[in-house]
Parts: sequence; structure tokens; C-alpha cells
Amino acid sequence: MAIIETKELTYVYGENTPFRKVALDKVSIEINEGEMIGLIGHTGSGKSTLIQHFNGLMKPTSGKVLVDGEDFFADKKKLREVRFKVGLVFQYPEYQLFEETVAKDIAYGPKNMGLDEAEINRRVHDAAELVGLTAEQLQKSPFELSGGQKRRAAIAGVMAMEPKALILDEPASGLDPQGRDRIFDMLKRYHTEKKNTVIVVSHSMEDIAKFADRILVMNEGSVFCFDTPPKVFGRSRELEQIGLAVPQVTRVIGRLNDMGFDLGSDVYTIGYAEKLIRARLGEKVQ
Amino acid sequence: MLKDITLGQFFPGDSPVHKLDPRIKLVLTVEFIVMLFAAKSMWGIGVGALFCLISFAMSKVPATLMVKSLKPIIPLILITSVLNLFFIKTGDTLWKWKILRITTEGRDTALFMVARIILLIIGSSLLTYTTSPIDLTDAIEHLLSPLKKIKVPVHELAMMMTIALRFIPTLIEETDKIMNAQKARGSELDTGSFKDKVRGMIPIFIPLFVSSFRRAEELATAMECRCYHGGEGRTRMKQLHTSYLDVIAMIYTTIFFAAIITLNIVIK
Repeated sequence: MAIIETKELTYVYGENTPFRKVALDKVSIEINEGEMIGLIGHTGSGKSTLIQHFNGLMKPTSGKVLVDGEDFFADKKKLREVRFKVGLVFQYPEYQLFEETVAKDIAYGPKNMGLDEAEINRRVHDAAELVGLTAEQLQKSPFELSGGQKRRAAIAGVMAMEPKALILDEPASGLDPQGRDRIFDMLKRYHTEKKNTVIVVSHSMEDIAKFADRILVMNEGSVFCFDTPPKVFGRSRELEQIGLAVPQVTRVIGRLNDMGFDLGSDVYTIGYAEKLIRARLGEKVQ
Repeated sequence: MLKDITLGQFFPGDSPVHKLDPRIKLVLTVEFIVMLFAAKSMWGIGVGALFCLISFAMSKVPATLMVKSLKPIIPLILITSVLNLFFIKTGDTLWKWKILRITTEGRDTALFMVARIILLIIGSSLLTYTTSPIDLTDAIEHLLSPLKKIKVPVHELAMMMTIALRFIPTLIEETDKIMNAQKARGSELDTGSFKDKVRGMIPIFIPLFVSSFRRAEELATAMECRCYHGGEGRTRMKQLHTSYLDVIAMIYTTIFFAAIITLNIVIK
């Protein structure tokens, strides 16, 4: 069943001004419950605009957004419910921390939902556990944490609302490789444990290729393609034309194909590439 | 919502008015204001209005903006006209109802005052429409530089103004982002009682303050790394130059000023 669905969603910035710009042009997509989606696109391709429609922070100029099959813009009261159903983590979410302690900050969302003390407590500890914050860190001021820890605390703040769909805008930007891996491992774990929909916006094909069930590629406000990773990376030439770098290993295999080794066009992980090359060399696959 | 706030009201263009040296433009605007106060009759105000209209036409700033600049002072215009209309009791009676009385003199003074206020606003908004805030601070720094003699930190004040102007759009954008992030966590900013609304501001102000301090520190470090040490011996990338346009503008303004003074003497 579709958790988020858009029908001919169009959004225009600065309508009736000289600065008019179509940010989204008739986007019709369906995102199913429990899916892990990678959203990729160039700067200005409409990624951020699109995800802000999913939880009603932005209102479509025309077209519809349905969450759980409901058009929440039709009913103002639903708007707030949708924010709890679709959790949105902005880019650099650590700048939104404000409470005295990390625990209180994580509790901000659940508190706004009107839950009772015990439930809030459970959710805070659940979320903290998921992102790997210790009980000691929970009692610290958010401003005492390191950059990566702050980021994880902020993500926990949204996870604690236990949204049916969790959307993260560039969750790993500005972190070192170790921090990046940690965030992505954490998201993978969250996805397998909670079985909720996760949508990750990223610039890096490499990161997205590793975990996404389906990849949504945006280009200049329209959907370029929305398909499984093998099919998306099978179009690597076109992707490069719209200025998106495909994973390095896909490029290597592409060059090998050009040289006459027929290795197929759907290679996007190093493990799979290794298998193919070893098989070609006649080695036994371990 | 927040993006609708425009900082200053600079309307870019390349008209002769835009090209004037901001220092000269600032001085001429002051001259225009003095001119309006020197005018003693409706004729004088008429000359001021003519000056204003010609300058506005030359600047190619849309007339709608001229009208827009008047919007905030509508209450002031109303209060001035009402006060003058009903409280000046000299002159012939035009209209009477109970204790209210409008006289010819009241009517004339009201018109005169209102016309003067409108011209004041239009004239000074022409300056801000055609001069970028940064140019304006530069001009102010130049014009105030004699005050350095009496140890007024003119450069530092101007630098503070420049930095403030530079960071207002950045902070607006940041506020917008933080507001959205907290809304995504279910904060109610636009609903609820007054107390709820105030409480709803805390999650926005704290992150905003924290990031302002962070930015201030980063900027200070960056400036120090480039050996910034205040105004002493500092040269400018963008030099202000006066040109023949400025001379023409000065002559043009002075002619109008002279016309107003002449009118004052002739019409007694």
C-alpha cells in the first residue's frame, strides 16, 4: 500500500513575479509502506521542495499529495497529524537542538503529540538506543556533544515520533567517512527493525546504491526515473548527461564493457563487481 | 512568509539616478528635505513635487513602488490632516456640525502639511530605491569621516552596519529553516493561545542565537586571518567617484531650491 502518493504535483516559486520558477512539474509518484527509497538529484532539481510537500510544510500550487490515501490539505486539522506520520529530518538537523538536555530535546516531538510521560520516556530511550547515544549522553546539554553525536541526537528527535515514513535530507553531509558510515548503518538498522518507510536524500550515488530498494532521480523539477538500482544504474550514460555521477565501480565496469568485456550494465556494488570479474578470470568465487 | 520581507528597498537599475555618487545623492536628499521645509506656500510645494516627479521618472523606478512607499505612513497622513482640519479655528467657516468646524485656513494648512509629508517620504524613498544598502553605508562612512577627529569610531560603526546588513538575509533564511524543522516536530507556531505562541518561540530563538554567535565567531576569526585591524590605512576595492552626472544633479537641485526661495519672496 502506498504511504505517500503524489498526483501531478506542481509547485511554482514566486508566481506572478519576474522570479517565477517551476520547482516541481507534474510529479506523480507512489512510495510504498516499508520501502527504503533513495532520492537523488542535482542542486535545484526540486528534491528539497518535494520532500517538504510530503509532510505539508509546503502546499502544492496544483496537484495532490496523499499520505495514507488522505488528501490532508483538504482538512486543516489533519496537517499536524501528517507531521507525526511523516517525520522530516532537515539538512544539518543539529542546528535545531535547543533544550537543556539531549533527552528533553528528543522528547520535544513526542511531547507535541500529547503522549503521556511513560510513553515519552520509552520513545526517548528507544530512539537514543537506535542512534547509539548512551544514557550518560542523554543527560548532557546538546551543545556539549560532538558534531556527529549532535546529528544523531537530532535524528533521534524525529525518530522518537515513530513516524510511518522517515525522510532525511542529506543526513551525512559534512561528516567524516566514519560518521557517514555510522549514520547509514544506523538507518539500515532502523529500517530493518521498524519496517517503516525511509526516504534518504543524497548527492552520493555510492551511499544510495548500498541500501535503496528503489531510487528516485529528479532532474529540473521532474521525475527522471524511479526504479530499482540495477535499472537506474543501467542508464548510467543518461545519468551522467544530467550531471549525476554514477558509483565509481559502475563507471569502471562501463569502461570494461566498452573494451569488450561483456559484464552487464547493472553493476553498482563493489562486491558484485568483484564476483563478476573473478568469474571472468576463471577464479573460484568465494 | 519570511522571505517576503525585503531588506531596504533597493530596486536595481542603471538610470542616471542610480549612477550618482551615493554621497552626493545623500547630500542632495538632505537638500531636498530642507527645500520642502523652506517652502512657505503651496506654490513652493508644487515646485518640490515637480522636482520629485522628474527625479522619479528619470530613475525608472516603477510608480507602483512610489505609492507602496507611502503605505506605512497613511496613519500619519490621516492624523495630520484631521488635526489641522479641525483644530485651526481661524479663517472663514466652510462647514460646521456641533462643535466641529472646518475653516478655509484649516483646509489649506492640512493640504499643505499632507503634501509636504508625502513628498518627504517619496523623496527619501527614491534614495533607498536607487542606492544599495552597502553603498549607502559607504556614503555615510565618508560623510561622517570628519568626526574621526573627535575620536568617533566612524569606520567601526560603518563596518557594523555593513555586517548587519549582510547577515539579515542569512538570518532570515536560517529562521525559516529552523521554523520548518520545529514545525516538522509538531510545534504549533500559528495556533494556540498567546502563552502557547510565546512558548513556541523558544525552540526557534535558542537555535537562532546559538547559530548567530557561531557565525559571529567564525566571521571574526576569518577577518583576523586576513589581517583586518580596523579602519587605519585601509583602502577600498570599490572607490566612490564623482562624475559629471553628479555636477548636473547638484546644479539641477540648486535651481529648484533657488526657485522655491524666489517664490517665497515673490508670494507674500
